Amino acid sequence: MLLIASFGSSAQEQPTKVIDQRFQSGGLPFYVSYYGNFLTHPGIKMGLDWNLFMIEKTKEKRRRTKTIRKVLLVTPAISYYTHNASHNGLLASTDLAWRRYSKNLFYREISVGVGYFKRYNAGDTWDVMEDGAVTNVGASSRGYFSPSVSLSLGKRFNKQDPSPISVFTKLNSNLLVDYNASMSVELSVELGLRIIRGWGINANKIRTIVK
Amino acid sequence: MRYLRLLPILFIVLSCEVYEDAERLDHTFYVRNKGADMPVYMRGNISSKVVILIVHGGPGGNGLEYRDGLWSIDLEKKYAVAYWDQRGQGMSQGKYDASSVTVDTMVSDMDAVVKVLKAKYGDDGDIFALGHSWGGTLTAKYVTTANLQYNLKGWIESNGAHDNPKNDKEATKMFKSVAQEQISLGNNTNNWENILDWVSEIDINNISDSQSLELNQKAFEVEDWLIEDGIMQKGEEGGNVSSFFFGPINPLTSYLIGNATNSLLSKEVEATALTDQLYKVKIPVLVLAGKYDFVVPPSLAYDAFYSVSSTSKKIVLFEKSGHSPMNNEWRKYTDEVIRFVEANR
Repeated sequence: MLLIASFGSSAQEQPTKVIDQRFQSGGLPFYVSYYGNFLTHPGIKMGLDWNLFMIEKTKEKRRRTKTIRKVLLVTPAISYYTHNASHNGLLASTDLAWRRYSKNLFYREISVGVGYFKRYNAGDTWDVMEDGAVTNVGASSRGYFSPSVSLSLGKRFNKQDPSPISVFTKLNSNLLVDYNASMSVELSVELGLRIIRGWGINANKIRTIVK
Repeated sequence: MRYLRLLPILFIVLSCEVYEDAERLDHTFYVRNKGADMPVYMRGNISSKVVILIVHGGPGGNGLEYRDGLWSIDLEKKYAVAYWDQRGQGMSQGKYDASSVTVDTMVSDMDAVVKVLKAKYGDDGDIFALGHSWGGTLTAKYVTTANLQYNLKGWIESNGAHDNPKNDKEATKMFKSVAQEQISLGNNTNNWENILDWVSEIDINNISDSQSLELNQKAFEVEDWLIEDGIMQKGEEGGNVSSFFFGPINPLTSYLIGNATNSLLSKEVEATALTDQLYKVKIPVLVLAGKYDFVVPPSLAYDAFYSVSSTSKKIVLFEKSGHSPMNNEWRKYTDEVIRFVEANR
């Protein structure tokens, strides 16, 4: 039986059947992570999870009930890292993610995104003009459009807590378009913590499709 | 869950910069020219008022590759060394059209780097350009363009490919002669017989692009056999090795953009022949070559040496070296560079 609750209607409406209220805490999840460009060039990433809808599917298997949840979400984020003696990087991005929770609240996620990457040169930049004049322009940067693909694994904890947290790791692959005369790829790894609090921006209830 | 508390500590530890000795020149700056931002990593002793500008190989290499070797330690003790990442290589960034990636643009880039070095460290400083392999092509083009050579106190051409059509012919001849020599010595006989069979099929007057690539690949392969048989000297480990994960070069970026730039330049580079231009060179020249360099055979080094008009010139053949004598015979190599700089500064 397919029950569609709240999908396409007001976000405040309760789904007809919700298996687990833990996914309905009302706060907008935010996360903070270690952001390692090429794993080791350290940085930080902060972002939000804006849940669009969730599919909750319950199966009876060998007298056990198994509930799988799949969530479609948008994750705006900002990342910053420093690559010693080379450059600093700032990325503003938004991903569209598809996340699947297992019965034990482990999750895996795949996402695609778009972003704008700004690369700040280390040290001063010296500009040499057409007439040969040399000027120190100080700190300088260049920006690139940056689509991305990411894979993530995580685990949600605090089952009974209304403000649960989850830990996750994420592998990002960012394309830098029009980088030099072609393009380039940047790899980064995240190790982070996601927190849902009752305060801050209210995400309302997640629109849920119960199967 | 309590381990999560360690996350901020991990972040702080990884964020810490290692502070270098304040006496030592150790910083990076960028040169912006024609749409490219190119890093120059300055290391060594600037009080000498001498800067050695390293013009790396490839195309597709990076400047700091040349710090991975014992030779750089002595060189940096004595002089300031500028490790430059060329356009579209190493950690260079920028936005420009693919059609602008030409040898002439890169000559303009090198000129920009030299101008900035002078602006930054004073006009009274002495700049020597050391071009290795493809860097030899680029520096050869630089010193034969207009009056650019006079910005330098000297040109060091190390295993430089200033004439690529000639290079392939000479490499083919060298494969034949060294293969015969090694077979007669009983060294790696099967391998050298295979080389002899392969090279015998190459028409020296009509070498294809794929054969040219194969010549280049085999050139590195045979160096291993020559080291194994004690003909060449094995390079010693050490020097200012950049960390793969923590160094200024991101190996993935360097590899990807280096390959892209190499493919954009390869046709022009393959056709570049500067032998008949070298007569224009009047500044002091040091030509360095490895006896077993199949990538750029030593005959090209002699070609450069006899072609330049410089009154102060020297050629050194490293008897137990291949394409990178700065690694195979690093002590002798460094001594020769220092001797040349001291004689011409």
